Order: sequence, then C-alpha cells, then structure tokens
Amino acid sequence: MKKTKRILKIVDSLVQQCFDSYGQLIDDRAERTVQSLAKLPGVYGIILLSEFSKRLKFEIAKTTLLLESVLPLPEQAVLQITQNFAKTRKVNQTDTLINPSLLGGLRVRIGDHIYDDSLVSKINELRKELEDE
Amino acid sequence: MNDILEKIQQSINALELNVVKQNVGVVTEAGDGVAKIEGLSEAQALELLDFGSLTAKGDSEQVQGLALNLEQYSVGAVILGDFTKVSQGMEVRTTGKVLEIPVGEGFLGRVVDSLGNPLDGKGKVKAQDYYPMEKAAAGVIARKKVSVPLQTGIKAIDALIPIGRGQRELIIGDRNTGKTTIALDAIINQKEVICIYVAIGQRGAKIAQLVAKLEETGSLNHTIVVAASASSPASMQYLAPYAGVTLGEYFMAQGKDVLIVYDDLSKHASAYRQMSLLLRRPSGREAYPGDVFYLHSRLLERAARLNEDFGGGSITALPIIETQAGDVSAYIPTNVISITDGQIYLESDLFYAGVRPAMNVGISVSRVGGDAQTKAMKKVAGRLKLDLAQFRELAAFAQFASDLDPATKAQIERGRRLTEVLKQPPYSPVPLEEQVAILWAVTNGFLDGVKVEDAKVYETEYLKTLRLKNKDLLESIANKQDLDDKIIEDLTKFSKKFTEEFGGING
Repeated sequence: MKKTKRILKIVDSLVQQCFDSYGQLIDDRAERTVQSLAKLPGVYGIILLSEFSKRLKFEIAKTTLLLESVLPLPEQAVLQITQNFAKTRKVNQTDTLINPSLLGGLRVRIGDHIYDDSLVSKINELRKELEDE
Repeated sequence: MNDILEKIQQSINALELNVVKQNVGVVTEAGDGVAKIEGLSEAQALELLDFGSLTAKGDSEQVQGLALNLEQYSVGAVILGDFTKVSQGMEVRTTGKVLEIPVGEGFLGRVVDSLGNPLDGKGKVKAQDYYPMEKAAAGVIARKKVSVPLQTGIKAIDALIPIGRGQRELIIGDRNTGKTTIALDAIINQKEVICIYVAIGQRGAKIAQLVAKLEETGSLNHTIVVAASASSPASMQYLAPYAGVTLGEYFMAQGKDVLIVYDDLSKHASAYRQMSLLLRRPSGREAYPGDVFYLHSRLLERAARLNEDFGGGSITALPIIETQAGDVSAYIPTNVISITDGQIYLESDLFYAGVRPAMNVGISVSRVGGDAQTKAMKKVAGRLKLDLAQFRELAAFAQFASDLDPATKAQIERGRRLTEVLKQPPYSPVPLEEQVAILWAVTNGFLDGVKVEDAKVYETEYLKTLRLKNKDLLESIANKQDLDDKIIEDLTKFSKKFTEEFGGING
C-alpha cells in the first residue's frame, strides 16, 4: 500500500490536533490517537501509525531545546539559554546532554537546527582553512 | 620552516570562528548512491550536504552529497563519493553552499574528476577561484553573432559544415563511426583556443588512450580532461558536463575562446535517468525523467559568444550523441538536435566503405554556415558543395558509367575524386591554407585526369611540394584569408605544372 498524499494529509491533521494553541503536546489526546490507529486493520493501520509517530516526534523536536556540553551546565545557564531562544521561537522543553566529543564549548539543537559553538567544530573549520591554503 | 609557521599563524589570526548555524537531518534510507534524509527543512536545491559526524582527530568520516529532492519532511540526496560509507541513522548537515568547483589556469594539462579533484597523480590543483556549477546562461544582450571560424583541421567539416566560435555543433552517429576522433582532431588543431574534453561513462582505457594521444601531439598543455568513467557513480557522470562548462566559463570570462567536447551526452542522459529513478522521480518516455530536455538545454545554452562589453570570449560546444542502428528519431537524439546549431551525421555504411570521416554530407548541417568561414574557404566551398550534391544525385547511375553522356560521366568522376580528397586519416589536421589550396585544385578540375586511386597520393605530393617550393603562396592564403587574382594566378600556374609532372611520373 502506498503512502498517498491523502494518507499523509490525514496524518498531518491528526498530529496537529495533538497540540494546543501554545504548541504544547496534549498527552492523552496523542495516546488516544495512537490507540485508535493501532485498532485499524492490517497494513493501513501500520502505515498510519508509523507516519504519525514520525511526524509527532518531528513536531515535538521543533520545540525541544537540546543543550550538549562537555561538563554539566549550571541551572542558571540552562535557564538563560532557554529564555534567549524563547524570544524567537517556541520552547516547550529543555534537555541537556553530556557529550565529551565536543572537547569544549556548547552545541544547541532545536528541531533540525543546530547552533554549534563547540571546540571540535572550530578545529575542523581551522583544518579546512589551512588545507585550502 | 619559520616562514611556514608564520603563514600558519597569520591564517589562524585572520580566521573568524563564529557560532556555526546548520540545518541537520538523519539518513533514513541509503543505497545505490542515493540517500533519503529526514529533517533538513532549510536545505536548498543543489546544496552541498555533509554526511557523517566530525571527529576530533580530523579524519572525519564525512562524505559529501547533493540535495536534489526537496519534500515536505524529507530530502532526497545523491552521494558524491564513496556511498558505502553512508548508512542509516547517520547525521547530515547543510553546508550553506551550492555545488561549486575550483577553477583556474592550474587545470590546464590536468585530468580531473567532476568535483575538480585531480586524477592524474600530479598533485593538487591550485585554484584561482570557485564557480557554481549551475549557472544561468548568458542573456541575449551579452551575446554576439557567431562569425569567427573554429578550424577543426578536417577538410570535410571546415569546407562543408563549418563551425564558428560560440556555436553548438552536434556529432551524432552509431558506435565506432569516428565521433570521438573528429572531436580529438578538432582539439589537436587548436593553438590558442583552450580545450576541455569531458568524458562521461567512457571506458577508463579509452580515456587513458585519449590523454596519451593529446600528450603525444602536444595538445595536453592547453586542454583540461574532466573524467567520469563508466565505473564512476551516476552522480559524478551527471555532474561531469557541468563541471566542464564551469571550467570553460572561467576562461570565457577572461575573453578567451574555449572548445568543449561532451563525450557523450547519451551516457549522461542514462546516468541522470538512473539517479532520477532511484530518487523515485516520476518517469516519462523511455523511463527518462520529465526534465531530461532541460538537462541538456541548460548545459548547451552556456556555450555562447560574448560581446566586447562582456569580455568577448566564447565557448564552442561539440556534444556527441550515440545512436542505435542509425535511429536519429529516438528521444535523446531528437532533443539534442533541436537544441544545437547543426549536426555532423556519421554513418556506419560510409565508415566501412572507407569514407573517413564517415560524414553524410547530405544530411549534416551547420546552421551558422558561411558566416563561420573565411572568404577563401567560402570561394572553394561553394563549388565543392554543388559538385558533391550533383554527384550524390548521380551516384546511383555510377554503375552504368559506360552508358552515360560525357557531361554526366565527368560529373561522376569529379565527385569520386572529391570524395577521395575529403578522406582524411585521424590525428592529421590540415591547416586552412592547405585545405583551400587542395580543394581549389580539385574543384577546378586539376584531378580530373588523375586516376581515382591516385587522388590521395596526388593530394599528399601536391601539399608537400607546395610547402617546399611555394611556401609564400601558402602564407599569402593564410594571411589574406581570401583568394585574390594574384593568388589564383599563382595557384593555377603551380597546379598546372604539378599535374603535368604528376601525370608524367604516374604514366
């Protein structure tokens, strides 16, 4: 069975209905939608459920701020970064992640955007410049 | 050593390392040189993508790709490089750059791939600049009429199907009919014109042979070879012609003349079809995507002659198309025929009959025509075309030669000698003045008394004697580019004397 445009449109509208006007996820509505889709027969249900889950994750990620750093960030710093980002976009959730491969600095991810101020990216940029020379 | 360290220090100080903003996605499907990526909501069409994460050691596992399909929640990309390194779950980032390649004088004499990376083992090429691969062709205002000839050194072409600088002339024919040889002869004959040979889907051995021939004839110094062989991924074969014309545009912008050969666009269309089908684009006639015409039209439109306000440079394109069983009405051949300013049609029958170049003069055409010929060549070509046209009409009666009237017989005999003189061995371009001299001799009947089988010998000796004993006559033709009364008088005197002596030697 193909993922026709009609099916994808249905999934999009189901996903939109799981968020309120502030962009916050309505948990029980999302849960009910998943249960209803799971009850659908055969391939139809599997495709709709899979697409719904993908789109829902994408929409949640759009308003989730992920802060990657080498060492744990102080709460004040996390709050300040969240407030700064909230000025230009919706931020419903902030997560932190310890990532030693950054070597230093900070990497912020929201949705599919990354703001990379890590040491490893600066080193690689420097390497590219020197290679071109 | 201190200088190097100082230079590195200066580079580091001059560098501005700001926060990098990138769009990121994740590979959901990968295989056969294409990848489907989720995310990348801000990717541009033809934007370069970096696959794989950076590591602190610097030996990044990064492979580059090109964003082609922009869908609502995903991006379809072709992988430029080793596609086996791309796997599901890999991170992909945008670079903010559309596809561009390095350009510059450093590329002359080099063999490079579709991204400008050297393939000849002679070290990295120093680039003068970076140009985008996709670029709009010059507008109407920037262009100038094609009026300067591009001498290929092949008598049949320079006399009958003349090519001008800035023209697109298609070379079309079945396999093994001499298409590449014509293009190569054209390159070998150039002195101040920059040449670019783009090999698309060719055998590696053939490309190596071609490069060796260019080196042997001293033509490699002013030639760039862009190679995407049959073993290259379809993405590299797709990009090769655009890389070639981008390299040419650098020289055109400096006011220079460029000759570019695309060998061949049939394989280019095949590679594009393969890529489009893997990207799940809708297929049309013969399974080609709907924009296969645009694939070639936007490429060939970039060949142009610019006016003085825009540098006065030019790019002349010689695209090559391989037909199957002589079918010029197939999809891709008809597309390219309608784009170009004429075609040179090569036939297998003529090739195996020994007529090489195997050009069918009847259906080959140059839409620029006499505008791209010198006055000297125009004067001999007019008569030549007429004689050949009459010969073609009478060719069917040639077998009844003994039953025909003298005028018809004479026409047939003249046509046979013309056909013999127009034959030419490969990699032996003939300068303009020698072409004019020998064609003048044959169209004025000086070979009528020579046996057909001796016509080539006559031609060889005629030109040899001219070069040795009447060099100033050749120089006059070359300098004046016209046949004035004095030159005609000298040619007549020389030709009479030579023909008598030749007749005497050959009984």
